[in-house]
Amino acid sequence: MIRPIRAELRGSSARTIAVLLFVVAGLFTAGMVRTWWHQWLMFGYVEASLMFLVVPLALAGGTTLGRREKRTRAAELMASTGRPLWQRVTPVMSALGVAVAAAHLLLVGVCAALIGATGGWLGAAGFPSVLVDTALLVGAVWAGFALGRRWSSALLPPALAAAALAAQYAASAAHQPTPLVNLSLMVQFQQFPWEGPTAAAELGRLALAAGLIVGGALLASAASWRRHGAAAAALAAGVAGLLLIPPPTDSRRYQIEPSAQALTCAAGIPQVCVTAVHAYALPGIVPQARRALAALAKLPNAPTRAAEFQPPAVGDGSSDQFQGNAPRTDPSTVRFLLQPDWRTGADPHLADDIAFGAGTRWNGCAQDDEAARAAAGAWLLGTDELHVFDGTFDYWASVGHQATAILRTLRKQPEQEQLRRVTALRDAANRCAKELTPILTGQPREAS
Amino acid sequence: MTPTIHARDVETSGLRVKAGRHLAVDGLDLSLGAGVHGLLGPNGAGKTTLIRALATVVRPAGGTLRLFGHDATRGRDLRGVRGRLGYLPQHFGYYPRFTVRDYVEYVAWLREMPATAIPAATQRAIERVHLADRADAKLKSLSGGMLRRAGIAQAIVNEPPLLLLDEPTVGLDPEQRVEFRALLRELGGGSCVLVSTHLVEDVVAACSDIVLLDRGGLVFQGGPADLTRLGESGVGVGDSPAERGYSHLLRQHRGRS
Repeated sequence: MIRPIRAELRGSSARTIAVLLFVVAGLFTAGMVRTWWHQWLMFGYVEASLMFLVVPLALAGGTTLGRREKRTRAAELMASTGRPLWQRVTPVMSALGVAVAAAHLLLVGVCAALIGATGGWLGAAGFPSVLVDTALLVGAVWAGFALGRRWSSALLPPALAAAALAAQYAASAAHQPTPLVNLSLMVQFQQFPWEGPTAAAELGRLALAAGLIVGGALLASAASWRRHGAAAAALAAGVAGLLLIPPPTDSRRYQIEPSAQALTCAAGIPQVCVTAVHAYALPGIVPQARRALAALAKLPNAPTRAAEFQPPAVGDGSSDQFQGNAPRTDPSTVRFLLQPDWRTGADPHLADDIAFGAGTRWNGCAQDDEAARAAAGAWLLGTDELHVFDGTFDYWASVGHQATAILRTLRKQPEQEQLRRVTALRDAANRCAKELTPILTGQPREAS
Repeated sequence: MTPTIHARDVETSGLRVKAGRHLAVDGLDLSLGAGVHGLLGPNGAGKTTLIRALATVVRPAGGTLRLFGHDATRGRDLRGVRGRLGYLPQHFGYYPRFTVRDYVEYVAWLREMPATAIPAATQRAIERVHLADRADAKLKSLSGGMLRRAGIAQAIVNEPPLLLLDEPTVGLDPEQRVEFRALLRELGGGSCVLVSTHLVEDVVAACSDIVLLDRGGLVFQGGPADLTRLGESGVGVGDSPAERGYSHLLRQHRGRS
C-alpha cells in the first residue's frame, strides 16, 4: 500500500491542493499577524477562523481529484481490476489526507515556532483545536473527493465551494443565540489572550470533522445505496453536532487557561508581574511599571507591587464587566491592564494607565469622573497630560480640558494639601465613589 | 482460485451485451484458448463491447460468460478473475502526472500482484514495449505511440493468462507495429491474447486465430491461412488476399441475414 500512496503523492494533484491551501492559509494568517504575534491562544482563534475559507477550498480541491478517473477515462481500466473499491480509493485518499494535513500542520508549526522564538507563551491548551481543525480539513477533502467520484461535473468544485461559503455567511448573519450561528466556522475572537476554546466548542467541530471523514470514506469506497445512505447519515450527524454541541453564545465558547493567565514576575524590586502570555514583554514594561510605582509611592500606604489584571471570568467585550460597585482591592498591589504593541511588546502608556485614578483603575469599581482620575494620575507623574486608552479610545481626548483645569486648581494648593487630596481621591475611588472632582478641587464638580 | 484444468480461457454461449440501450453483442458463442486471436469486424460490429464484457467492465444482458472456467458474471468470482486479466481499453485512460513506471506499478498493485514482485515485473513490462528510456517520464509528456506502448506495458505487467487489447496499434509507426506483432506472438505462446483491430494485415501477421464479428454475431472463426486462401480464390475486394477474404465473408454473411 505504501508504494501506491507514494505514487499518488508524486503524481496526483494532492500536493497541488495542499500547496494551494497552504498559500491561502498562509496569506490569511499573515494578514492577521497583529492578532497572533507572540500569542499562541490568539493564533488558535486565527487558525480556527481560517477554516471558514479553507474548508470550502478543501471541499473543492477534493472534488477536483475525485473527478480524475472519469475525466481521464481511467475509470474503465480501474473497473477491470480486482481490488475492492475501498482498497482502490485508499491510496489517493491517504495521499490527499497526508498532504493536506501536512500542509496545515506545517503552517501551524511555522507560526508556533515564530511565537516560541519571539518569547511568546506556548501551551498544550491550543493544540487540541489544531488537531481538530486538521481533521476537519482532511474530512473536507475526503468528502469532496467522494462527491467528485459520484458526480464528475466540472461545475461541482466551484459550486460546492460557493455553497459552503454562502451557508456559512448566511449562518454568521443569524442573530445569536440561535444554534445556526455555529454553522459558520468563523469564530468570534477572545477578549483576552489567556482565553482558549472550551471542550464543547471543540467537540462541535470534531463532530463535523468525524461526519465528513466517515461520510467521505463511505461514499467513496462503496457502491451500494445502503452505504450511501450511511454516508449521508454520518454527514448529517456531523452537521448536527456542529450546530448543537457548542454553546450558541460567544462568551461560552472560551474558558480561561490558568497556565496562560498565571503571573510571571521580573527580578528585582519593586516587583512587577504580568500574565504568562505577556511574559515576553516584561523587559520592556518593567521600567514603566516601576516609574508608576515610584509615583504612587508619594502617597501613604502605597502599593509595593504592580501586577497585570487577571479577570476572574471570560471577557464579554464590555468594559463594565469588571468595573462595577464591588471594590476588589489589595493595598499592596496595583493592577494594570497590559495592551502591548504587537511588534515590540512595549506599552508606552503603561505608567499613565497605572497612575490613572492614583492606581485604582482595576479595583473593581466603575470608572466615573475620568477627568479627576486623569488629573490625579498626571499629578502623581508630574506631567500635564495623561494618556489612558480604553481599546483605541484615549480618555484624554474627551476629558483633557477638564482634567487640565482640575490639575491647575490642585497645583495651586500647598504641597501637603495636594498630597492629602490625591490620597483622599484614591481612598474614595477604592470605595467606588462616583464624585471625585470635588475631592481634588475642593469645589463641586461642574456639569460636563 | 484454481483454474479448471480443461476449461478454455474464454467461453461464451448465447452471450448478449448491451452498449447503452443497443444490443451490441447478440447471442455470441465463442471459445478461446491459448494463442493470439485477432478480433476483426466493421465499425459497430460489437468488438469493443465484447472486449469490455470480457474485461468484466460491463455486465452481460444474457447468456453465459465463463473466464478460466468461472462464471464471470458472479460477483464473488470476479476478484480472482480480474487478477488474471490484462486490459488495454480502446481509450486508454491514464493519470497524466504519473510517470510510466508509477502507472504500471499502480496497475500491477490493482491487479493484486505480490508487492515484492511489482518492481521487477514493471521493469520487465516497460522493457518489452521499448520504453525503458522513458520509464521515469510523465505520461503527459509522451507521444501518442509511446502512450499506447505504456498502455500495453500496464496490460502485460502481471503476465496475464487472458490479455485483452482493444486497438493496440493505433498511433504506432510501422516499425513499432512490426515490433508489436513480435511481442504479440511471444505473449500468445502461453496466454490467450485477444486483439481487436481494423488492420487485417496485423491480424494475419501476428495471430494464430481470427474471430470475425458483424452486428454482434460471429461471422467466422478460423486461422489466418483460411482467410488468405479465401481471398486468393478471387472473391471479395481489397488490396491483399486477407482483405479480400475479410470483405467476402462479410458480404456473404450480410447476404444471408
